[in-house]
Amino acid sequence: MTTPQGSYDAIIVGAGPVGVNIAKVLTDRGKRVLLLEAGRASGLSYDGWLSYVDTYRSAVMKEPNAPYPPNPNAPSTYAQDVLNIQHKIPILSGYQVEKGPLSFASTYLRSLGGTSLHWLGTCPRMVPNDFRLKTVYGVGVDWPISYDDLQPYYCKAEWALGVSANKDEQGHFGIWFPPEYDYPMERIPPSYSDGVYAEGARKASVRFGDRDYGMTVTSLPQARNSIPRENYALSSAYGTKHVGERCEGNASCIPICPVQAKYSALRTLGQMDKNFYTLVTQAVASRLIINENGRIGGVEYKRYESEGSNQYQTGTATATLYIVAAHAVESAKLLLASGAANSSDQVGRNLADHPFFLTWALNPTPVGAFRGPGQTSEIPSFRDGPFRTDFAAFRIDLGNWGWDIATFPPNSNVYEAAAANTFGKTLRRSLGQQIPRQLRVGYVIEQLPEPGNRVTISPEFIDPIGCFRPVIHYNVSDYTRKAMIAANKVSNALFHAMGIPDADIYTKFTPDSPGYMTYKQDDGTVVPLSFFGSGHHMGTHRMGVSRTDSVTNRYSRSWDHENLYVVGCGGMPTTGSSNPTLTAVAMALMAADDMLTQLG
Amino acid sequence: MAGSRRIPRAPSEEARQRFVAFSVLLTGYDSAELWGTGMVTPYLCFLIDAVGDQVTGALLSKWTAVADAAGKDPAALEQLVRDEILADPTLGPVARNLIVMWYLGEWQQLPADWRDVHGTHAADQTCFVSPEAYAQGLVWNAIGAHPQGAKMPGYGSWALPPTIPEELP
Repeated sequence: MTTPQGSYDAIIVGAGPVGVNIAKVLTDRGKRVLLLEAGRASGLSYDGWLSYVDTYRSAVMKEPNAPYPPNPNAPSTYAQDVLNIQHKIPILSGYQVEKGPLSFASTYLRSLGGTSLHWLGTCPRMVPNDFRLKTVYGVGVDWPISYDDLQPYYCKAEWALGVSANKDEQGHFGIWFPPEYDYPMERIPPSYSDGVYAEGARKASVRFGDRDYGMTVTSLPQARNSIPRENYALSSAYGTKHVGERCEGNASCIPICPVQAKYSALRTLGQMDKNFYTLVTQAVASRLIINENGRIGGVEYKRYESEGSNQYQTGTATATLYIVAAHAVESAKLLLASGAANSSDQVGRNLADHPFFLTWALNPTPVGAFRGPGQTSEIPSFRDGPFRTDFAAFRIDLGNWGWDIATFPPNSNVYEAAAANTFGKTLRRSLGQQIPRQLRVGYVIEQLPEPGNRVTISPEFIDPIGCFRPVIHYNVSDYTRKAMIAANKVSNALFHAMGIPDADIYTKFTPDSPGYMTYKQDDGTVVPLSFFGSGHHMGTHRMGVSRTDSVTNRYSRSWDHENLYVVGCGGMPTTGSSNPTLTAVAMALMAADDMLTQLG
Repeated sequence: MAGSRRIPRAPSEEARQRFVAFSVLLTGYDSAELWGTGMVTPYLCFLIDAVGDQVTGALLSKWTAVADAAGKDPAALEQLVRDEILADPTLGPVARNLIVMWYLGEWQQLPADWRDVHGTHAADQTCFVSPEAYAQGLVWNAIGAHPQGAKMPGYGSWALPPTIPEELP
């Protein structure tokens, strides 16, 4: 068994995309790093990976964690655990305990590589106004850094993650790139259905306040392999050669890319110099030890022998710097369990997701649903605008997989047809006439920081090896609900411009769906809404300008412990509407520079 | 014998031929396409495991009888299948399960009412027959796509116009 040897320059808790990218920077500079990972290391062999693919193919519920076998000693929540909280509070069925009032509909994965094993890989930058929401729109808070501060690290992060895009298409709302810069790979080809949307979007318009908003369809930056630009070395799947050097269109990015053409943290791990890091898996960090002088003096961890037994040994590892990068929820849990970094009382608070609002319809002609990556284009038109004083910004993702999580095609169609005794050529023809026309639009909506949305711990809720289970308190404010009303208006304008009659718009919000809720409009009418989780856990250890209302400074360094960094999506003071991993890695690379300065 | 697994027995060639002929009617795919999935024998074996020899035999016998009775009249055959098989409380749920199995690769646990009468076989659980069964689901072909996570169609294929599932004869 690998055990930590001596003292390290840095201990990183969590071998996901954030932790591993910091490890890469530090080891590249000859620093000795210990990586502590709660999950197991199965992804480190390609046959292990292929066994995950088989698990996915056999899984009845093909949800984001389906390929990855349950691990009772480093549990994850599975989507089927997220029941309708309106029927029963708290939800205790999963690993995360849900106290409501709404269910936190997102899950994450505790395994080597973290949630980057099942993420979609969408990598838009945040827009400049996302960093100054309070100043510009009077809501939320400002970041301690600006877009310009983070810009160089966005460039590095895009190369670290291997993002495919063309920069001339990405200058939304003031996003800028250095003249000499471009993404490491050309954009992923937009899907055929993206083109169908684009034709409609050109004609679509919607009015908010005293302003009309048009819509444009543009390609989405994605961390999946395409055609490399000069100087970029393509990576293949971990443990093999010449596999996955292009996206092959498996159309299963979530939950698993069979060829690893989509980035995961395993890729960065494979690029690191083994002389400078030690990886210890099946080691759950349980407590940070705080010295009398306020510095962190060690990290206590529980090393379990196997998933099949709750036997474990407790160890302590020491280093000069401690870097908690365990995921927004897990990092907050560890800090709370340690009584660390929380003089501001902000640890665990301001938990946000991007509530994912869906609308769906049938196009008059086939668009070829279920082909290509989950999404290849977006409508960025509502990522920023004066409406943000009134309701939340949103990004519009154009799905490529039919109605997917809205109704679970094609399985649901087959079940219904068989139950109705539809068979033979009639069945074959009806499936062929309906499903290829399916359109599903997803609205990725901002949530403001709210102190009551939080992760807490309680001795009442403990996992098999005596670590805390996260207790989640979650709601969606009217600022975000109102954006869903706006999104539905946008959706209708878009679908109508595409020539889709109301009869072919199938969006519905049923009280038994997990994200069901209502919104009381200004005129007093109450309308139903529904949302899904985006898997974007953010805000639980936000950075800021003052130690009184934030957990870390701009370099993700704890205000309370000068040798402690808390990095990841939890550090985001506000969330914008961009999928957060790219921003989290950029923030982590900025933090890594500060770590190198500290280490000398 | 309690606790022992039944020894799998390869279905006879005749049983497989009858199973395929019935499956052609249920799926709308021809026998070459069904044999080409490689799933004929695995599905028939799974069926026997999940519902037993007796019900399997009854289903295939009934199929043979209605096929003989209908002669070469497809409309008559379809009506007989509806009346004699799909409407039958024993055979109907099994036949509907075969439609789902061929299209998705998944077996669905039979209804509780059915199990009250015929008992519960260990294999009668909702599951994919195998990872390969998922990949061979006919639905993907029917919708002009490929199974998600299998039979990858190649870089950029998603940018091409969709193949419209052809008008079936």
